Amino acid sequence: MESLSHLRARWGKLTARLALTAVAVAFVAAFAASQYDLVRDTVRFICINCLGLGG
Amino acid sequence: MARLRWATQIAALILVNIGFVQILKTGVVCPFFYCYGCPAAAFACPIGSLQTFAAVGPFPLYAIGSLGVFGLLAGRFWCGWGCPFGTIQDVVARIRRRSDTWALRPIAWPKYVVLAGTLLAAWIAADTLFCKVCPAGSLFAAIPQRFLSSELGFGTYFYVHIGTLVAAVVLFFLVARFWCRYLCPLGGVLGLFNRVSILRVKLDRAKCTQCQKCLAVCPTGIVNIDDIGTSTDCIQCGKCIESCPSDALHISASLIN
Repeated sequence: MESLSHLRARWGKLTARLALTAVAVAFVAAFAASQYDLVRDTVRFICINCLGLGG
Repeated sequence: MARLRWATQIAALILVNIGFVQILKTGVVCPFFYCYGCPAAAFACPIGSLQTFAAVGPFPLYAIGSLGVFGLLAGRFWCGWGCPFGTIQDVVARIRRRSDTWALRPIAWPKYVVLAGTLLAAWIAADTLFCKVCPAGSLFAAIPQRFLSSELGFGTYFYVHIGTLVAAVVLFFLVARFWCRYLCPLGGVLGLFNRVSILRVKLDRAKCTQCQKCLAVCPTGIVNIDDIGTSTDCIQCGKCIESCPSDALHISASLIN
């Protein structure tokens, strides 16, 4: 049978994981609308200068 | 397991390159160290995105949130099972067919120095400076772009790219997963999640006989059995699981454990 401290540690980890996941998902959800397009532009419009091309 | 790992690595390489269809070029941040300057890139490099925001935009909460989700899901599993730059290093390790020339211990802090320096430089210079020297960008973007667009001239940074790529490949021949061990800023971020990620390699201490065969095969040179699966250096590749004669290691996918 698991000791009380062991159980507490397991549930503590579960709580921490769920809380961290909720925060991360909330960040993505809240800021995808305003920042997604800027990120997509970096994929669609290649920085030729960064690659050392174009003279 | 080795075959499965190669299969996922090849699948990831294909997946990140489906952007040759323009509509599939997305603003999704990928969990790998892969250059979005590649002609066929479908996803954004997380380090490139963080730099872009540091240079020109608002605080990168979308990119940070994405990395948080990836990290909590699988920590550095992404490095061991999907990262295209990691795959290149595994291919080099397979070609050389011998152990590391330099027996170096893993050190975590250089990755964080590279990360901090990258973001600070982008913020100060208002430019993605790290991209101009990134060896992954050299391999996946600068060289293919030059082949596809022969009208483009060679600038100074192209030669810098070639230099960093050559240096990186030489280091890969000397030390397995050198980039992942010491320099990868993304690996540093994802490594922070190794202790709390849902998917990770787990050690059953009751079964462990301390034979240390797992440590002998570890591509990142982990020296302590307790660090397997939890250290920021562990890329969760699972080579230790294959080598374990007592089945003390396994992949755990659990919210609670």
